[in-house]
Amino acid sequence: MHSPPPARRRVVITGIGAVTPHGVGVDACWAGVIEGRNTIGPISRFNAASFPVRFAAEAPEPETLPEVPPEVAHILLDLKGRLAAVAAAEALAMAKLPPLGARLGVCLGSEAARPDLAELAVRMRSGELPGALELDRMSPAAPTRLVAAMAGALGPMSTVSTACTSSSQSVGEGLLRIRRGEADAMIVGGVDVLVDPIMVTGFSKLGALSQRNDDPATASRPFDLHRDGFVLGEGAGFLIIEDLELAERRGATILAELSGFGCSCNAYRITDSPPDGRGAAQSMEAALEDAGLSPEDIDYINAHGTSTPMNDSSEAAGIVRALGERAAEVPTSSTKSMTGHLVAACGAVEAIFCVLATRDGVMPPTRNLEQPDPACPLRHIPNAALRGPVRHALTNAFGFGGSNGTLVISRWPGASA
Amino acid sequence: MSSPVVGPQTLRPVTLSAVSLFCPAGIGPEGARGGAPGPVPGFQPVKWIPDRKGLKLMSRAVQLGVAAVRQAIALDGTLDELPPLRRALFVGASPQTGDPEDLRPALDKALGPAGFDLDKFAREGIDLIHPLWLVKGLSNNVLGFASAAHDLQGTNANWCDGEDGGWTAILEGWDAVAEGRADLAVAGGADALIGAEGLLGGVACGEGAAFLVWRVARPGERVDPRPHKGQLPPDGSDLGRLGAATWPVRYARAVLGGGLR
Repeated sequence: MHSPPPARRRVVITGIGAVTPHGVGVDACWAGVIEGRNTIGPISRFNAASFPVRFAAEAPEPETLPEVPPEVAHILLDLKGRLAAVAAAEALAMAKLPPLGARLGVCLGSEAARPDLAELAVRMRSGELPGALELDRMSPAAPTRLVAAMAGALGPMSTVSTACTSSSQSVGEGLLRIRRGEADAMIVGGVDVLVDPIMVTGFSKLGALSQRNDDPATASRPFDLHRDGFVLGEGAGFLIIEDLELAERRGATILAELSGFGCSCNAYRITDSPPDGRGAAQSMEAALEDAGLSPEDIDYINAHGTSTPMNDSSEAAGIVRALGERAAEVPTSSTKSMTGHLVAACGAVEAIFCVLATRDGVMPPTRNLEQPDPACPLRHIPNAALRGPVRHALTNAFGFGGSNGTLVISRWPGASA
Repeated sequence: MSSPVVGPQTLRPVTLSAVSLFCPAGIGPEGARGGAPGPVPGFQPVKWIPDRKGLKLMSRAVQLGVAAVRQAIALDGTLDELPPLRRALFVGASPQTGDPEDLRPALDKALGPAGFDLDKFAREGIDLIHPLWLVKGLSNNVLGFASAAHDLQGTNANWCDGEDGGWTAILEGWDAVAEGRADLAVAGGADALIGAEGLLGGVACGEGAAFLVWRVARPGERVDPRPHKGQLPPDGSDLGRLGAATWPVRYARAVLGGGLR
């Protein structure tokens, strides 16, 4: 293994913003997961009565939207754009960045938006093509452009699309850009809106979704013996990360340190992860090495924990491989048990939960964890939050296509709510 | 606290060891000069992609990308000397939302004189959709299939930023090797826009893929600085819109055409 470069910039988190099925704003989202509150219920966004899966975790429609420059206003026509705008505005307001121009970049995790199914059917029959503005706002890069315009960011701008790993990697890539000196601050995060007929159909056909139509509130049960799939969710999470020297110079309130990023690829199968947890372990080991930490330093793991039979056992095997005996001691939970799976947004939203866990000394639970699967021999946090100091937290994200991302969030001395 | 700041980061020497090219002018060095918008002449996916089962799940852009990764790795010839975790892959790609044509039978079932009936789509249409339809539409399929084919277990990313995605991938590949996160990085992009002319305002479109292999320079090997767009000579040919393959193809043509190295 290589040694991490000894000399580099430290990167801290000075702003966070989120919209999840628990609500609009970080406070609502954090309160929801700490209280172990369910958000999963019948789909209201369309008539799902005859669909194979009829429940999801829908994000609330924001009541007010920030003003955005006219050239990107069309992106707000989609819920995805609205969630991105609101979460980004919250993070920017918290960070209070000065104008940084080309020294401020944006790196987001996002996937392409889907057309409305009825419109698609009509267009396919008539041969009519979507307009340029519609295409533009459906692009994965649309939220990136939106947020860059809102913030006046003129620095490096990019969009990661690696399915469920997208926003974990976007945070990590932002970290690398600041360390590298390409930018002094980065807006990082992700957004996804998945509760639409096409996605419900696609994931149902794959057999990836829970089928508990009769009892949606218990459907997402990561690491439980009786889990049967994940639940589609929606949301956005953004973080403002910046060079420590800049943050100190301008007197910013530091929430936590972004101290490590690890990334690996399963190189296995498109939708499956290796049962031995190899890829997950490699990602966690790389993140620990990058942060200069050992397993003994980790006090909390926010697992990818999708609630699929395959992911959870593979991830648990990976945690055991990466952390050894420490795996049985580190409190571990999956907030997807409450928020559903936010796919391209999950890595960033769960990184925010880790920021708050280090700040507040409280770790969210895994809801619905009634009978832990023996194949997942971890120290779970079942059904009720756990209080205790969190020096460093790991957060995992693993995606179709095989990409794995792990972030290390470290407590900042003096950070408080 | 972790990651102390003690000074500027040390970078390792990086060399460009191989370049693959599939573009409307041809495959390999043949594709380095001339050309016009259109398909990659003579590209037969089955000749390049032994994974027959996987091939059925690959769009044209993914087929081009997987083939180009294979060619780049073969030309480099050193992959087997490295542990899988030290092999990186960075890809620029266009979003693949799934081929709408694959949904046509299901949509037709639900579209009647009164309009689209979502309930009928769910009751009678969904069964007509292939179970792996969603997988075929993943934006990161070049990364997924190529990493599995060559056991590339290291750091990676898939960039969807229109034409800039492939350029970002090239830079990330170089950075990953220079910064010590990988010993070899395959980096480039792939796209296939033929048929999308109407969506793109009538401009001529093409298809292509190109991947570079960056690796740690060995003693005596040429050291390549971090790429920048300004170093690329003008490409006198119009190959049409190449989307995420634009910059990788330009870079590969510049190298193979003798204008860059």
